[in-house]
Amino acid sequence: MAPKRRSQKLYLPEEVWVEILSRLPVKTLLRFKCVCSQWRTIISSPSFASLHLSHSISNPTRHSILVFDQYEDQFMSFDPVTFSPIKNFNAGLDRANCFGSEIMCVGSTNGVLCIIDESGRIWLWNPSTRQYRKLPPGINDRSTFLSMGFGRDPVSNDYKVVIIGFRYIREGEHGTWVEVWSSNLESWREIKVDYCFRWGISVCDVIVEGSVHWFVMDASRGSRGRMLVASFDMRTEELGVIPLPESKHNYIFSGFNWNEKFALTTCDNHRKYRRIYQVWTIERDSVGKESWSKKFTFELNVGSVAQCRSMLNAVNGKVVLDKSGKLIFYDVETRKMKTVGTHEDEFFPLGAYSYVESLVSIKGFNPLGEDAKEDVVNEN
Amino acid sequence: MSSTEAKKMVVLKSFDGVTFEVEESVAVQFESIRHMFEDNLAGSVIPLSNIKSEILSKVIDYCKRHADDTTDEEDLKAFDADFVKVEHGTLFDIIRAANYLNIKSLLDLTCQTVADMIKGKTPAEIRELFNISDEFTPEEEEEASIITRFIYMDRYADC
Repeated sequence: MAPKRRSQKLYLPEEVWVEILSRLPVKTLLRFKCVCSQWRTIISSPSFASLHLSHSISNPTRHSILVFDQYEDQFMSFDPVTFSPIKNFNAGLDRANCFGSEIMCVGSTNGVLCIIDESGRIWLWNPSTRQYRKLPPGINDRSTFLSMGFGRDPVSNDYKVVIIGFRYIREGEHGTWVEVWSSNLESWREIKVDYCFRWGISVCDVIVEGSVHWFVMDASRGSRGRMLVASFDMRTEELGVIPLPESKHNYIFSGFNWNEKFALTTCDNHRKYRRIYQVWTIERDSVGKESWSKKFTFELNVGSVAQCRSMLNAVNGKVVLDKSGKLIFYDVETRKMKTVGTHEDEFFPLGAYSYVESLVSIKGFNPLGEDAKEDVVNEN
Repeated sequence: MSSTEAKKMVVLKSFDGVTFEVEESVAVQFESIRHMFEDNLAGSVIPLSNIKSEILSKVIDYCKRHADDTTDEEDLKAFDADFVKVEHGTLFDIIRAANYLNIKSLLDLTCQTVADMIKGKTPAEIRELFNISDEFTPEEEEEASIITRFIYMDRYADC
């Protein structure tokens, strides 16, 4: 239904309203759904969500770094430029109502997070619109999971969750299984692979547009347990591997997304205060062959001898490190460094993720929160 | 300007009959009518029957400034900021003209201005400002009330 009696003077064609509204934050848009049915229809449409997402991606104020705090069992949000905490990111409020315990974040893409709990239940969740859905149980047993990934096939706009796991074949021989859940098909299916991996480093992966990556150990015969980077292409659903780069640094620190490429850092000596990190990316040549290219080196003084355990992630050149319950943020370009967290307010961070707010909705999404839950019950 | 040769001019005629002579280098920003003067119709008048002279003159000013390579970035920003400091009616006229003529940068600037202007407003204030009636079907009314509850939760959580 079109709004009536709109003053001629302040009339704008619908396509212009679409342009204007696509520049607003998600919170404002949710509020503006109540303005009139024309605005509601605009804001609710998937094509508007895509347009809004592209504006949000190019607007630095819509981005944040999410750090999952295991101690508080919630997400903390930080400004990617100043590294100051963002107070109004209230994702913790939501998750307390709906997710299981001991949750971990698998990944974040286009404003949607993938969450898994200790019993292997998986959710997709858009914290900005407070919409979520639970995934049906997968095919293989949770206890055989090695690693997971979450990403999107950009061609068919299909959000996919991928799990790799190991399969016992006989004494001393294992196989690897891969299963994929597709948001378009709303179901799991198994992908045949010839590789054999022993383990993945963590549940978390590195997402670059259209594919996910993990560090795994090669368990095929004669491989002597060398480390590999395995990648899964979300569009072709093919699994590929590439051995780690040859570096005199023997300590592999972390994988991350560097300008939409898979990058890893190596560290000269993780026991030193002053560490030298090398950043490598996977490059493709004209025939599609992948190889490592050393991009740059940076130095970081991590201060006291207190264990600076791991790099949680690097979000667009902003490195996040975990140092005994504190977070160190470091901007590779500006060399700005900031430590967050005090003795009263400690973090037990599990991972850091790049987050951009969006209206992205996935098939089967429902509103999250107690009020909404009651509504669903009453309807039934 | 270095060129001494005669510049190719385009003649535009507003809704209220005023004609404007514009250099082609400026008029190329009018994406939607570009073909009309590029198809070698030199000298012929292009009628813009839905744009008033007052607005067309502003739009041409904007395009002149943006076609001038000698203006530095800071000055251009200051010009843009000043350009959109007009009353709502005029701003909306400019938006409609920019949309009709398909001037991407002007449309970006003015849409962002309106977005910034409405960002902090409540739905009731928006309806009042743009004189929109809020007729909803009962189902829509129901959903709107759920959304309102979410907003309430939001405010609560921000405290």
